[in-house]
Amino acid sequence: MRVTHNTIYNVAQSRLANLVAELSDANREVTTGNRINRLSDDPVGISRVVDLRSGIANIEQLSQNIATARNWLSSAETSLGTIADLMDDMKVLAIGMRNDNYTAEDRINAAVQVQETLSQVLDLVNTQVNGQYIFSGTKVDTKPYAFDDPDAPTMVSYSGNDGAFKVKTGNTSNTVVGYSGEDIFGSDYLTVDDTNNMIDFQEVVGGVPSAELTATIPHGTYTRDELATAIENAMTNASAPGNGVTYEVTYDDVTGLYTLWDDGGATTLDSLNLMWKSGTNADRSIAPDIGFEPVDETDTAAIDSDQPVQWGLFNTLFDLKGYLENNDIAGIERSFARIDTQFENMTNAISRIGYKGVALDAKTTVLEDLDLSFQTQKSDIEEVDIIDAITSLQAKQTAYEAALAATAQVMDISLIDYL
Amino acid sequence: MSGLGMVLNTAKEAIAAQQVSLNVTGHNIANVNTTGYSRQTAIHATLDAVQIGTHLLGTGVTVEDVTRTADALLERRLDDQKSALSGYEEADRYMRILESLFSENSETSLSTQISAFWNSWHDLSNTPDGASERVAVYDTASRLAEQFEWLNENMRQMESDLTQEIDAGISRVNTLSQQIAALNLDIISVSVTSTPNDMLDKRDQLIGELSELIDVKTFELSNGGLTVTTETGSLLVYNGDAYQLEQQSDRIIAVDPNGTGIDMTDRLTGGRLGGWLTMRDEVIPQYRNDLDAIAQEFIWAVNEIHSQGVGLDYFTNAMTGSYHTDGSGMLSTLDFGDRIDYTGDFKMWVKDTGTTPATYADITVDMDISSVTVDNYTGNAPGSFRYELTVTTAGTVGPTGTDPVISWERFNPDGTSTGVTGTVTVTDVNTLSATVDGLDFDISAGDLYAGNTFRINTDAAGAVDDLDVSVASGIANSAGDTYLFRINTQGTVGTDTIEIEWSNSIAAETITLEPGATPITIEVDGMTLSFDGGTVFDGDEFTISTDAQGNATVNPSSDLHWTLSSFADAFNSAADAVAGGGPGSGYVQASISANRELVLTPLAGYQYAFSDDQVQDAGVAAALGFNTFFDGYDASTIKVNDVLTENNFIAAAIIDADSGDYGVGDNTNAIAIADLQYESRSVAQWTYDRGSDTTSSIINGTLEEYYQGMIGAMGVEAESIARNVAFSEVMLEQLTEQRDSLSGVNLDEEMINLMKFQHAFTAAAKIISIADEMLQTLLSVK
Repeated sequence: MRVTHNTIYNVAQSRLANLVAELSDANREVTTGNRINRLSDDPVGISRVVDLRSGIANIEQLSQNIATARNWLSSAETSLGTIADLMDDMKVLAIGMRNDNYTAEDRINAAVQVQETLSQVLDLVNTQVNGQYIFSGTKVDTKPYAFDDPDAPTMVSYSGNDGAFKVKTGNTSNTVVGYSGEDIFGSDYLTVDDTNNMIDFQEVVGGVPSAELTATIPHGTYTRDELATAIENAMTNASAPGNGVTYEVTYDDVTGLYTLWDDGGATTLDSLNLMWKSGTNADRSIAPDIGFEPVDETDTAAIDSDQPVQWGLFNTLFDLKGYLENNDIAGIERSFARIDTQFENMTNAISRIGYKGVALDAKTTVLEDLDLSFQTQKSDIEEVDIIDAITSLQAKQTAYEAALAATAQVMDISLIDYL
Repeated sequence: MSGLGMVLNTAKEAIAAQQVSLNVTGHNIANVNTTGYSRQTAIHATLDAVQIGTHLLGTGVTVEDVTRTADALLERRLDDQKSALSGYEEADRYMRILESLFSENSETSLSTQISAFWNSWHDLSNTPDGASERVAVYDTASRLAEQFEWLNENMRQMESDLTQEIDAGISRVNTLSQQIAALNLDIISVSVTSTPNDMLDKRDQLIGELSELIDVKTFELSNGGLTVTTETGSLLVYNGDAYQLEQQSDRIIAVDPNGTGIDMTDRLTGGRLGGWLTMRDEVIPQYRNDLDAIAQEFIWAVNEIHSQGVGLDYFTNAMTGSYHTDGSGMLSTLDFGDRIDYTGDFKMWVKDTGTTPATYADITVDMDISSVTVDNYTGNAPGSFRYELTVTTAGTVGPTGTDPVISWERFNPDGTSTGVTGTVTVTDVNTLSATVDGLDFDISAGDLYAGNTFRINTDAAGAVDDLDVSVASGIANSAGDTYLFRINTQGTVGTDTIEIEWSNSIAAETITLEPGATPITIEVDGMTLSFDGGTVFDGDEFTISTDAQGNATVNPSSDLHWTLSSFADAFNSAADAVAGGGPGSGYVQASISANRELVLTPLAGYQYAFSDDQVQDAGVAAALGFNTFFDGYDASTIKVNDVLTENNFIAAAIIDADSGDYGVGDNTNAIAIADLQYESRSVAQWTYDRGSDTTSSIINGTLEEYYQGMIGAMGVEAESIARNVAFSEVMLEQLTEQRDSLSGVNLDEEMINLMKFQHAFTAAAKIISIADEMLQTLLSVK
């Protein structure tokens, strides 16, 4: 084939240009450490890399979320653990104070100790994580519990709601880490037994006062509404023969008060006398459980509880304090079981937190493994094998040098030199 | 004439011929580096012999012709390859810019921003009342929106750069055509006497240059002239005439010999122009629309969830929705109107701050569309009018239940109200008693919902004559889309010329129904529409919605639907009912702005928020643009809703339907938005092909998967273009080698020729010298 000088030059030019381009690519791979510098370097690879990158970002975020969840859970665990310890102390105190050795004065001093404990518990249930209250449901900006009167408290009020703060800890799962305080420290159920199943009362119908009547509530566990019905039935049954008053007892969710009166039926009451103190069975009365002070109460219209009903931790402690102050041994004895229940509530809640912690540990392990696997895959696709890259760079360099030498040799020869 | 004179003559001719050859060789050497030069050869031939006595004696040599060594076929193949290479090179150049826009090697890449956006919602869900988390959500989203805008803006910039390049390219094509035509004339006149080698070379070279711009075909005429056409046969040069291409607003028009223009835009292939056109009309629009599709789905997905949530505060001030309907007021003409779920409800919570504690009430609008049919119109209206009928009292059509009430209003064909209105109480089915301005109709059993509305048109005789349109056949090119048809020139189908403008999410066009026999069929974006009759007025509208396969359903305005005003009325009457007062007593009032957006205005002392944790939300708030996270509807318009600069309104929580209140620590909505990243959605993907209709198909996947698919496709495309460049380069190199091998100048050869002709010259001179000596000898004989 005829080869012209132009061909020789052109071919030399383009081959050298190709070699320089390859050399530059090899150099870029070594210097950047990246195999993919443009989308077209490996289109399938880059899609995968972007996918892995977003996966990694997601894993990092979930790990952060889990850290937040742990933070909440460990704060809750600490608070509840401390409260459980305090309950234990209270139990010891109560058992001790039942002893006949102690005087009324000793018991009043012990009541001060109970008040101290109440203040400590109040601090604990108002625990915050990052400025958020962990026991106020989803109203995390609201302090959940406060004493009615900071100087002489008789009850606490709850300002949170019944939601629960949750944290996203997996692509499809959330972990509940906050609590509605009422769920843990309050209680929706009351156990009625021989210690609190009596109501002594006197009804006035047609201007005639009856004798002392006793309503007995069957033993069992009641919700607030169920208890209202049970009291209603017990009082209706206990109504004086001949009077046959049908009682109506209601519980109001919002105010937390019980209301006792007749149902406005055939026989109506002139007045009602609740004998919380003077009654025969006053020591077995249900008064504290439905918000009544242990004093007699007479009215010619519907009678409301003196204060909102609180079953649970605070109520238990307030009652204990009251029994100690009043030197009420029977009340102190009744407190034993209630303190035990609260102690169990705390330990149950702590163990539930423990299970959540275990679940989070498992999630963390999975996420860490996944992260490692994603990172490895990403490096495999995206990054160069540095040994390969350097070897290839050297090979390219050698080829380029050889090409330059050869070209210089060929270019040098011409017939003109020989004529 | 024999004798020494003849010898001298022969020698003279020989000297002359060798000189010519030397001249040609010198020309070859001189042009060794000239592009497009074909080496030339002087063809020597013996002169005619003369008869001297009985002998025929040769009279020497002459130069018969100077020819060039060129293979026309090879030249054409070379031109084709040049054309292909320049096209790929230009596509590659722009593809590299496109790739760098979507580079994944930076922290600003779209995928990084999207991840950051989801993560900011995770962070917010961990601290829902945290001010810094709220700022982070706002800022991250703003950056994401800016990235969408930036990408879109850059792609638009590339398109306009390309248009300028194309403009310059066309001027160059025109210049080259003129030069070739001028050269043609010279060649034709010279060819009569001799071979115009250098002119031919020059012309070949111009054709080569032209090929680099567009793909051309050439035909040589017997007179030496060359006809040049584009690949698709449009004439560029014929003998001495050049035909021009013109660029008229993005379109390339070829003006043919008769002076008529033909749109060549989609028919120019190959060359740089082909490369530019492919990039401008195929590649970039496709990715720009893909980006729009992601932005659109992103906006809707986030807005739909966000609009159902509540921030740290209820809204206190009046608010104007950020999306507006068109003149017809149909909710389906909102940017996201086709996403409304009519099986759901619109629900608003109103907080009365005048009481302590605050009290809450909810206003609910049932967004259902009734399935009852209205047909068998009889009777006559007073003339040709448009009637709007709206259900104002919900009820059941039939002998039992509440009797629904329909209000009607008569409009002139120009859209102004005649002020004639009335109401119809529907007491039973098919009673024909439902009289509207002289018109009776049958109504089937079923529930009618307040706010449902429909229109009927009457012809000149006053008889009901609704537009009868159906999809006769075909599949819409745009799947999962809504086509909006609007009447621009009114009239009666078959009798008058009716102009209808249609638009879908990417295209718009005007169709004309000419008078003639009905049904009139007309092609619209892959579908064949059949217009069977009807009277239409300016501004009348109907829509065609398409499913994921492109199957089309016509939604005429004579079917029950919702409009902005029917929604506002239904909302106000629901609000009035909650307040318990007369009209206008509602705690929040709905009205319509001049731009056809909905405006919500609370009474003093009332605050409002949207949706709750129990209602099946119809997405109406999101479609109207209330409590949305993003504004806009595509990559160029996306931005974070201005309302959220007050970042208390970022809705991380959701209202508790039992109370109307919520806790600021409720992160249900923030988690729901963060969960969108795992959710599979349907997004349209476009296919652009120059010269044929643009079609779309539906891709199912998460938003990020769609984006990964998009940049993957971009990478594959860039890779294949780069490969084509490399392949064409090699092909061109080989062809050039072949051409040079045939036509190129080899200096060694020429040097040898130089010596060859020098020796021949010397020898011929020697003949003269010998002849001279012989003459001297003769002269000295005495």
